[in-house]
Amino acid sequence: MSKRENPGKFHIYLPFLALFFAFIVVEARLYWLQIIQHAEFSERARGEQIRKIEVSPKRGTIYDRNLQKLAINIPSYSLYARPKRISNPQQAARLLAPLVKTKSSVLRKKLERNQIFVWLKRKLSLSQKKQIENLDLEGIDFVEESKRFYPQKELASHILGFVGVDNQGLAGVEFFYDNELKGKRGHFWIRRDALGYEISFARETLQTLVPGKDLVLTIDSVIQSIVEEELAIALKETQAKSVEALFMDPHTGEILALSRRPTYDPNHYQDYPASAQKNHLVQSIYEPGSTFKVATASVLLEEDLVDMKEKILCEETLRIADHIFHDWKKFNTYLDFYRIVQHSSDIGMIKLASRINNDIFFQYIKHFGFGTRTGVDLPGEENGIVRPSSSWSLTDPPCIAIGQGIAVTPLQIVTFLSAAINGGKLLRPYVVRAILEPGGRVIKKNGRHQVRTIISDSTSRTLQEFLKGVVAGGTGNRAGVPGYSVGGKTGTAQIPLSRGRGYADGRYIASFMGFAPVGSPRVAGIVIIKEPTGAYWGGEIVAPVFGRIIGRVLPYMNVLPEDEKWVKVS
Amino acid sequence: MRREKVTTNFHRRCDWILLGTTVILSLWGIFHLYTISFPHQAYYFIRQTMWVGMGMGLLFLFSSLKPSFWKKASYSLYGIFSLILILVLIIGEGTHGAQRWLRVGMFSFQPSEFVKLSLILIFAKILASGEGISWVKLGLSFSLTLLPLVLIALQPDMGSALILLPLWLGMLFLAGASLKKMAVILGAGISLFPLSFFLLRPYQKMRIITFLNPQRDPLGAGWSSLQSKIALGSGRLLGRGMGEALHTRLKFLPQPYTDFIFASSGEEWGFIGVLFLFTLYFLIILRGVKIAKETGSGFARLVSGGIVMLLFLQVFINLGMVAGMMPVTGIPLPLMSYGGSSVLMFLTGIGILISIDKFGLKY
Repeated sequence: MSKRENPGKFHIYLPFLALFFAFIVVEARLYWLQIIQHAEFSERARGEQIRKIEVSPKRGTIYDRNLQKLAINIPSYSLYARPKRISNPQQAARLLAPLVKTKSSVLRKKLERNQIFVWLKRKLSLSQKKQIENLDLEGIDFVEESKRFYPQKELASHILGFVGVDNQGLAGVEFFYDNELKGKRGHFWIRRDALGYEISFARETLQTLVPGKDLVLTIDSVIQSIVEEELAIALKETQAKSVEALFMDPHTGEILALSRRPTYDPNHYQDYPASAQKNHLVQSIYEPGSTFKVATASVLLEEDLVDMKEKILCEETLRIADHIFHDWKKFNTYLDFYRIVQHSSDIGMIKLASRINNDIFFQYIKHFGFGTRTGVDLPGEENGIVRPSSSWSLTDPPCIAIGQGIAVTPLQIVTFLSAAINGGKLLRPYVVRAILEPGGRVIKKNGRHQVRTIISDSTSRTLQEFLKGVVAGGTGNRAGVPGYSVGGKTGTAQIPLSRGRGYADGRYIASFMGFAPVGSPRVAGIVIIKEPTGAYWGGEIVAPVFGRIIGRVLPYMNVLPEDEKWVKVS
Repeated sequence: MRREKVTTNFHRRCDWILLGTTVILSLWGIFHLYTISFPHQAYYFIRQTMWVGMGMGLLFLFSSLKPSFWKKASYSLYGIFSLILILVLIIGEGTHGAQRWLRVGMFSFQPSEFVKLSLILIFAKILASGEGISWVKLGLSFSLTLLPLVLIALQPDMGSALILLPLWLGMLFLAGASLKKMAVILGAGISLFPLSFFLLRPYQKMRIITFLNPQRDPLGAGWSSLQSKIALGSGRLLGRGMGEALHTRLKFLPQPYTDFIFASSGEEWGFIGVLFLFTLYFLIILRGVKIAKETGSGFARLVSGGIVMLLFLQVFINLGMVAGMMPVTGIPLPLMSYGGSSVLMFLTGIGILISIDKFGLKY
């Protein structure tokens, strides 16, 4: 209303000046964003646009020693969804649930997630894929993935182990050699847009994948099958809790067969209890009982503490300190060293072993490989338990002499047996002979590895004769095979109570370890029957199983019978 | 004073710098739409070419029309567009939950754009009449602002609604309102401002909260602002090159054709390109201020000042939003953003500017 309210130049310039100033601020801000903060923002752009896609290589094949395929890969189909493109999650979940064997509420939750991508079910079969495709649902699709498949099912499952859903080795050779088998994961980078779709023009492969290497095992499928068949029969006959067996080439340490019943199918390992999956021959310890007398005898021979003609009175009982030892049978007679082993007299062996200095006895036991892992190329190997001689009480040496108060793995004792009969060479057992490139070229070869010499050649020969006697006319006579000379030793041990001292009543571990042919052994092994019902003596129930196995294995290995009458001439 | 008689000697009297800059900006907008969308979506490119063509026609038509036409038509135009705004609320179409469009044949119009122009005309007519700025004039002009403001806010399009307030304030000042009056109005506005928060819709509140703290929810409401900054930041000095604006092409940048076209330019052409666009807008504004200044007092001066003010406000608010300095409001960038209504309105505005420059200041 006053005259000052007539517009002058001031009224034109002031607002625009203010706005120009604002303009400069914006421009400065843009300079800040585009030039100063460029690195940070372009990094964020990269992070949003580029996605790393991992590609699993083909996992290596596992062959037996004759190149039979034990573990291979088959295509499988993994189902995924793009939840944002599914209009009716409830209906989709209801339709899919029975086909993928998942609760529809679980599927629905996945389908309603605010994600670009979600796995619904991994590794479906081709027929499942076709059924799902017939539903004609939108927003779901498959990715082909390779799935581990064990064509022989249970065969050698405890050696092979199994793999998880991402093909990662979880047990056995699959686990131990996972690095070799899995190869190197490849990955490529893709550009994706804000909705998660791949942009094909910007697909760049940066790293190529390396396929996994193949393994050739020392296992022989035929021997393995024989062992598994016989174990299955033995399990049925004895109604035992479990039966186990392990066979080895005593000159190389190659494991030829390893099995346990009850077993599991590695294709569906989740459906079996952990105890069935476990490789008890490597991962469990037990009290060996009389089979350990071979070790005691070795010390006596090596230290030359017994005259072969010397006769020892084997009474029914023997009192040491406050403990009364009972022999398994009333001998009440004089037996020489050979017969003590042959008939497995506890009292006789205890009396002989009392000649051994405790420290020397302990050192020998360690020297033989007990209490230490054999170094086999399988996971989870147990040490065994050998208490040091410094902590032994008066009753410990006699107990240990007959295989009590000591714990070993079946693999340890077979490894020792092999050394005892091969001239005294303690070997490192192994299950993988060679690692092959995908083309078949051998990259690495595992061979015989001698750890040390534990006994002399002559002791070894004497032991063979002793053990031949056990089968020829002693406790192990049922392990005999017509036409072949078999050596071995029986063992029957009670199962220690898990709490406190002493043993569980009526629970036994019966075993027989042996080899054949005597003189030039081709195979050494052990059969163990845990907690049989009824008869429980190793010589009674286990030796026949061992005999049946050896009787089938030796001809397969082209070992001719020594006795001519068993050789058929056509 | 200078040009009593209307001689339609277009060539002699035309402000070539203003016209040239306008044409370059519009063509640049078309070209940019082409580079960020071809070949997948030539749709935007073709439509925008059509709009700019139509807009240029309007520009030439209105640049040879005397400003007195607008003075006479201002009340009727205001009336017509207010009615159309009411119509939009009843039969309008919309995207993203807002009714902003009116369908005419095969085209959709956004009447709120044209309302801005009609408001400038009616402000100029009221404020230029008689001597000084009385409280009556002030009240009347404010009431006339309030009607379209409320109607647009109901669509809801808060950005387009709220921009009317600084436009009104600016024109008031241009018309010569005293600093005392301006202070009173601003004071009242600021004290009422907190109340307005209760009138906002939840998503609008979210935008303001997110603007104040964009890291709060980077995947939700802060997404647009963050992606805009990332796109700009990827551009650096020289940009990623023509057709190489990856962040834009991979659809991370929301609305790269309309609200965030400046961010996609910044990614493609870098700080240099941004500076180039700034210079063009600066030139238009400079010519506009010159026209307003030379035109003296009266209706024509206020109209030219208002048009420049509107253009300036929109450029400033859009760039502020793109650079993450202001909340996401959905104000298009004049002349460049895809959209017929905005393009037609601004080209009409430039046409009026040219005609005012040409016909002088009698009005």
